[in-house]
Amino acid sequence: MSPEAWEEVKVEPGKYLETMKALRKGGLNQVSDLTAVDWKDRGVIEVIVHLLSLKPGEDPRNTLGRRVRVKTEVERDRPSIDSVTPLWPGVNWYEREVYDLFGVDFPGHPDLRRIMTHEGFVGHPLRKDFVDERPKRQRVIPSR
Amino acid sequence: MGELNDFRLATGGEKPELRDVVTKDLHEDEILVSMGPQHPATHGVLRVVLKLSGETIVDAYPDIGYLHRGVEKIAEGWTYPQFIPMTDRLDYVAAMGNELTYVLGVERLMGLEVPPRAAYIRVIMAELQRVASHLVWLGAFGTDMGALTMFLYCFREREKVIDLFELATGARLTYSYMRIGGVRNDLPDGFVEKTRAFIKLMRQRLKEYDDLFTGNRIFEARTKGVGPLTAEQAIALSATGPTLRGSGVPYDVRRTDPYLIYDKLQFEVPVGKNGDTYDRYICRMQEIRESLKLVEQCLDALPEGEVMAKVPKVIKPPAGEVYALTEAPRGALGVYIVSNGTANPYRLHWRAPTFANLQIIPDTTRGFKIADAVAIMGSIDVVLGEVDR
Repeated sequence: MSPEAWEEVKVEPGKYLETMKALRKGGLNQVSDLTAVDWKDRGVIEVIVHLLSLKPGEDPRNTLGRRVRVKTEVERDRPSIDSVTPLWPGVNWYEREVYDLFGVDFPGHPDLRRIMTHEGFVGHPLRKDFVDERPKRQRVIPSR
Repeated sequence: MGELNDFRLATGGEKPELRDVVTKDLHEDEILVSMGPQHPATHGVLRVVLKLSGETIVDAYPDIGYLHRGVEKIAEGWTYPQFIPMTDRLDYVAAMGNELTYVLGVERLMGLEVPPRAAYIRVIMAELQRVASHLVWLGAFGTDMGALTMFLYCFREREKVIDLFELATGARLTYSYMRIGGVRNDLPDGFVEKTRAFIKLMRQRLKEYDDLFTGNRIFEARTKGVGPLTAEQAIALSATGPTLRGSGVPYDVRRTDPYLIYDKLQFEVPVGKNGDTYDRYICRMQEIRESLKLVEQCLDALPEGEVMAKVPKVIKPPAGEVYALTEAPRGALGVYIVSNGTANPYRLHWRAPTFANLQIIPDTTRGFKIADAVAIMGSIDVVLGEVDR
């Protein structure tokens, strides 16, 4: 199997948690990555999860089983998707990152706080329409 | 200010701050100690709030983001080749590994094959970088354990690797050597001989390190049984690299998804048994040996030929997405690129191994002493540049 080959699963936000529970039961025990893409023109934020199935043992060739990429699209105005942190504790910080940078809410997350930016930060910088409203810094040497 | 971006969450209400989280359920016997972000034992700007009962850790709350530079946002405004120097500044201790992951991702998106010589050179560089990175870790880890000599010894040897990189790339830390389609220039005269001399020297020095450190009773007392992590825990916490392999899961991307020429090379994947700080140490020490073996094999089989493939002047990968994983010194390093057919990435996400590995801190430090927390954090080998991005 080539490294690019990921089984792809597309689910509705309503069926997301159910699908993830089934995948967890099916032996996909590690979340390699969880991230999001802001499709501003289509008015959706796509949440992408990369799942791996790993197995302890001696032979490194048998360690990796299935590789699955799960995609969900949530509304851009009030993005919200069930948290999967209760299934995989390792996804905790990934969900916090997506919350911080895209403003996606994860109901069911035990500790949803900003992670990259500070507590007083306003806005979600990886959204395509994010505007940095802080005053521009003064140039020390005036430009010619 | 900020009405446009500051919308309320669907569930409503304010989300708590770290202060609220740590003070919740605080017993009157317990105290809170903020370790970092400026603390000599946290390797960068990592902050961990420790909840202590006496000297015993009741809970730990890692707090990151002090080095956040918005690299993923910056990438959206830059062209594909422009972003290569930026990758060096993520994991600045192992810059070659970052460049490699990024260019592999873009090449897969474009369906580009690199010439064989370039693939060999890339593996040589990546493995030398792994040696250099593990030496930095070993030196810093030794310092954490009170063995200050280790720092001097390790940096002496690391200097030799840096000199090799300087010879080949002209830079000592941030190389920008890997290019989309190959590498910037061929190996200079004398590089192969100097690398062989380094491998010979390094093997002798590794014996010295073992004499100094591995059998040391003080070192063993401070690391054996400290911060254990079971295989199931490590997998579920998204740990990769030596942090995962120390717990007995031989997940190494070079073996499971061989990229470049790794399927042609012979090497072992060292694994631990107990998943404690000591096993993570042993894994890294073995990995240095395996990396030296890999470099040697590549030098022996180094083919002649071009080092750059034919690449268009303006790089515009077709619309699509790619998730490229490689084995960086700290674990599985991934880059997720979404292209919309223009010269700039539509979205670029960096899957940093230590970002995930840091999540083991609460589970591994609970019940141990503050001094053990230093050992456990040291064994993760954190580089905040890639954690905060």
